[in-house]
Amino acid sequence: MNLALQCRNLTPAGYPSSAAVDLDVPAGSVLVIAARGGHHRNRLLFALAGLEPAQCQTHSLCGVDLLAPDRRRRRRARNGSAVISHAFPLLSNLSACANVMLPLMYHRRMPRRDAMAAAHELLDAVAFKADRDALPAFLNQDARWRALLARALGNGPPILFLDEPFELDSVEEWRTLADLLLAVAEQFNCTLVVETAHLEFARHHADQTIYLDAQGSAVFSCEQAFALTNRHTSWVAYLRRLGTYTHSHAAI
Amino acid sequence: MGGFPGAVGRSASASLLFVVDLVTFMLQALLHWWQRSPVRNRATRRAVVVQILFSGVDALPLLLLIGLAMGMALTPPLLMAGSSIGESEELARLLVVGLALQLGPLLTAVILIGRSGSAIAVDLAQMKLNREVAALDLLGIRLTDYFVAPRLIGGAISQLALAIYFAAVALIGGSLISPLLLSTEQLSLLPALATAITPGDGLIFIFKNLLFGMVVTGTACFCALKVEVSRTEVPQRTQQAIASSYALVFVIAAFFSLLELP
Repeated sequence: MNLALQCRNLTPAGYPSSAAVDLDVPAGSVLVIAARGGHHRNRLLFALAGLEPAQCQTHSLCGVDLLAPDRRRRRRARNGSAVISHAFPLLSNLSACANVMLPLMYHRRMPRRDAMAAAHELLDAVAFKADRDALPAFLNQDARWRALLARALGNGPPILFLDEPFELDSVEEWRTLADLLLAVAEQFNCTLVVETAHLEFARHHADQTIYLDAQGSAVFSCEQAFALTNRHTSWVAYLRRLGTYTHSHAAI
Repeated sequence: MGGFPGAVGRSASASLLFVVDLVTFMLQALLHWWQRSPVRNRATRRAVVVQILFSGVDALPLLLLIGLAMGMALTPPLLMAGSSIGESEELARLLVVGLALQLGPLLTAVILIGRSGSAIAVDLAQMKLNREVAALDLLGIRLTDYFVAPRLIGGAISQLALAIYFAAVALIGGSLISPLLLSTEQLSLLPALATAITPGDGLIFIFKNLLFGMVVTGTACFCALKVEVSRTEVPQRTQQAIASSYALVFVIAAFFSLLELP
């Protein structure tokens, strides 16, 4: 089995050691980190991507051991994957299209015209509907996120780390975005690691799910993470925030 | 060691370390840039062009105005003071050395610091704070390749071009206004100006201006990238970049003047 991500006993720095994570993520699969809002929310995602310090016995990304002393190889592996997060935004002085063109011109040394055509294709692939010549400041959050995704896809990454893609209001919108993510993963042959507060996505599309409680500790079960007995949790408030609260939930 | 001598020593060693770090930073950026075949790498090549447009072309109207004003302000008094020398070749040499070779590069560098150095420092510092720089690093785009080296190259080319324009406008403008204020004999200066510059002067002029351009933009990048977590660091680092650039440019100018002494 070709593994895109593998780790043993991984604990992001600052986490309790009881929250250690063991993972074998096959290439092409979908791993969801289901987490409620909170300070530590995306630290596990960044630790898995090799961006945050973590304690672990083994940690490999696309077959490259991130604990090995070869710094250049480690860096290549980390750069080969793509982290899409508003914590790592678009360049503010370039338009959305120019942002997507940048890695194409830098890494693939495409001429400007070819890079522009390729960037438009990538923006089409992520269903970018906003003005492509607008600076990021003039784009809404959804458009900025899609441009980030398109820019990352320009490098042809084998694995995508997505930091909360579903910050949307309606059920239809998250379903559309979920379909888009799965289509992109299939088209570009990527493994998805998605950190989200959206349980529905985990339930419907995840091959593996890690649940984090409100303190950021991995608890490995939905019931533990979102249990009513957990004093940090309010299931109704949580569903309301997701926009998926219906009256049938009142019985929970 | 305490007291005044200790403070002076610490300040001197900190300044020396700053210069050593700055030079290492600039050399490292240029080396990385060169290793990635800059001519074929269209992303960094474009960044150089953008920097030249911003620092060189956009600054041209302001620089021409200042150059013309300086030429008009300084040429007549210099000619009056130098009239006792007599020969037009010697007067022309005085003008070329004073106005074009010494004052021109300095004033151009001062404009470059105020206009581009501060802009680069603020821009880069904000980008670092917003983690845009880290985002590019995640994409495998080297900070030095994309942000630093193109600014160094673009700044150096802009400074050289602007200094040439400044010198030309100041000398020609001053020589044309002098006959109106003094006597028409001053028109004979114009042909003498062209022959007053020696090849050695030209080489030093080119080298000095390239160095000024690199120092101004390099200092701006170096200080801006020291920003870590807080927005309050942006004005502090910008101020440091501007003050350090002024100090370095004037020290380098003095060093070159000493070198040029017979």
